Amino acid sequence: MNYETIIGIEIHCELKTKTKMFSSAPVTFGEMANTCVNEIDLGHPGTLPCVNKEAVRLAIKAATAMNCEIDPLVKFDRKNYYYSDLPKGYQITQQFHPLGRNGHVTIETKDGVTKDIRINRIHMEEDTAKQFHSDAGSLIDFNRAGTPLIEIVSEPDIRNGAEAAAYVEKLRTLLYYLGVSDVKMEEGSMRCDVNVSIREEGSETFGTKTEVKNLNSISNVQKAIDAEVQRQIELVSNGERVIQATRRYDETQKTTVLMRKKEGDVDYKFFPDPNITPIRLDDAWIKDIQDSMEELPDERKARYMSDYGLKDYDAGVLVANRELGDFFDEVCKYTENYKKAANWVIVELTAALNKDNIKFENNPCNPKYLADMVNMVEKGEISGKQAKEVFEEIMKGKDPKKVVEEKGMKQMSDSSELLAVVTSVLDANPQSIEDFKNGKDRAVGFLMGQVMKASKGQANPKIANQLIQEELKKR
Amino acid sequence: MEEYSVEYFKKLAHDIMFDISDQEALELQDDFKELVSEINVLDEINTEGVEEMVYPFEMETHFLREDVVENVISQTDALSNAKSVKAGHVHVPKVVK
Repeated sequence: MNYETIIGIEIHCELKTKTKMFSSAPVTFGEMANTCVNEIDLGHPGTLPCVNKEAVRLAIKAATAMNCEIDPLVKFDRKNYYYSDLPKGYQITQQFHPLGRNGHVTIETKDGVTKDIRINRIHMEEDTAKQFHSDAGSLIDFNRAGTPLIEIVSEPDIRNGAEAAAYVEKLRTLLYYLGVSDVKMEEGSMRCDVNVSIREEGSETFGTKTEVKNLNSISNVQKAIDAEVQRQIELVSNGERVIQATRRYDETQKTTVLMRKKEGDVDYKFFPDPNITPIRLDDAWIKDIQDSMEELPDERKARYMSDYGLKDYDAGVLVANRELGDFFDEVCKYTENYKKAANWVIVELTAALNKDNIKFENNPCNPKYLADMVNMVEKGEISGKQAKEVFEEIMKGKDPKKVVEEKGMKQMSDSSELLAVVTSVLDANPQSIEDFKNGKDRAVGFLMGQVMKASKGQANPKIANQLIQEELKKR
Repeated sequence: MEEYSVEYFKKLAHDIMFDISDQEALELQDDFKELVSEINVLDEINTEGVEEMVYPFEMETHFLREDVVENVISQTDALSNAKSVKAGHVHVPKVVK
């Protein structure tokens, strides 16, 4: 029997603000426990939440990028549950009136298939405290409590692990480009919960779903889904039932493991938070945010292809890493040899950084120097081989023009100068001339090598080759 | 357990980490009986077709707080209400199995 997989994804994403969602205490990571909090984060009686403007601004950017309708009337609700990571006994969220609704993003899977994934909602809420469990009890650090979050809920439009990975990657890139979040899955600033169910192909009803939580990388999203789908198919094929439960992915066993069973939906007793009256956002402010948004990855890719003539793959590589693309844009301010420049950035620069294990943010390469060097190669002033040597010096912060001068590298492109070298090489190698006349084309390659040797590698290969051919015919 | 019984209040208090005497529980019992009877009066009002009201003043506001760090309390203050503290963390009985 064939089965169809149905996947919906919930993503929680910490917003890149200086202060918490409802308090003026700082948002930090890795600080000493319980040093970045105030009475509001600790849920002390008598405190009142006060909505962070920047958090709303970032959430509007995210909702806009995901093509959502934006509700200009911001309302918050309480989600009640009793747990030690939640000091107030409720989380402030937007259950009834999410900021964004009915959006979509377009994903592209590795096979090059594009597909729209609908976004049900994007809403604002607050993060909980961090807990560390041991046999001796649980330790609670409230620094994270109250950190602004957005939750992005997809419709169940995803059909396999590869699409899920493409979707998460798409959101990750979008949110990163917009400066909405750090999107560090390994640090938990972006967290991904996946709902998975299977049904017989052609069936209209949904099967029982399981939720796989705490996926800390995009590759694990795909692996966890593949493993969970396999598990569910095996169960159903053996005549067993899928039990509604929360599971986690075990990397070593490459399978999902039961965390807790879910007996129906938990009743969170949602109700509007009486402490926050509805806030009407100024339409002009929303429009201003939307009009001044950063270039999105898809727009940048399209620009690279149309304005710079880059191939789909190269444009994709430059867009996948925002810093790489930003650097490339800088280089392109000083050169019009876009394709060559792209090649240097994608291949040589990336390799050089990887070799020395340098993060892109510490990239020592000056974009203007790289552009100058690309221009010199294009004008024939230095050879491609020399360029690699120059590039190594650029990575040490040196101006390529000075490097070329100091090393006496200037490529010999002047025909009369080159002709003298070619003539003397031909004079010294009568056998090669003989070979050439007897139809041995290899002779040209040998003579070319001799010209390079005589010119200490400075001969412009294109012109030298042309001159050798011409001179050979004359003899 | 019977609702609003002495045991009910004592357990409730204990669950939220303080204990009350039998006398205090009895006083709470009286207060609650009165309170509940007062609330029950509201049940007699016919609310058919009346839209629920969340806020005392149904008006929209516009204020949003600027994203500036203003009020942070010290670790000592943050932990001063905790019954048990370990390595700068609030320490509670283990909450997961």
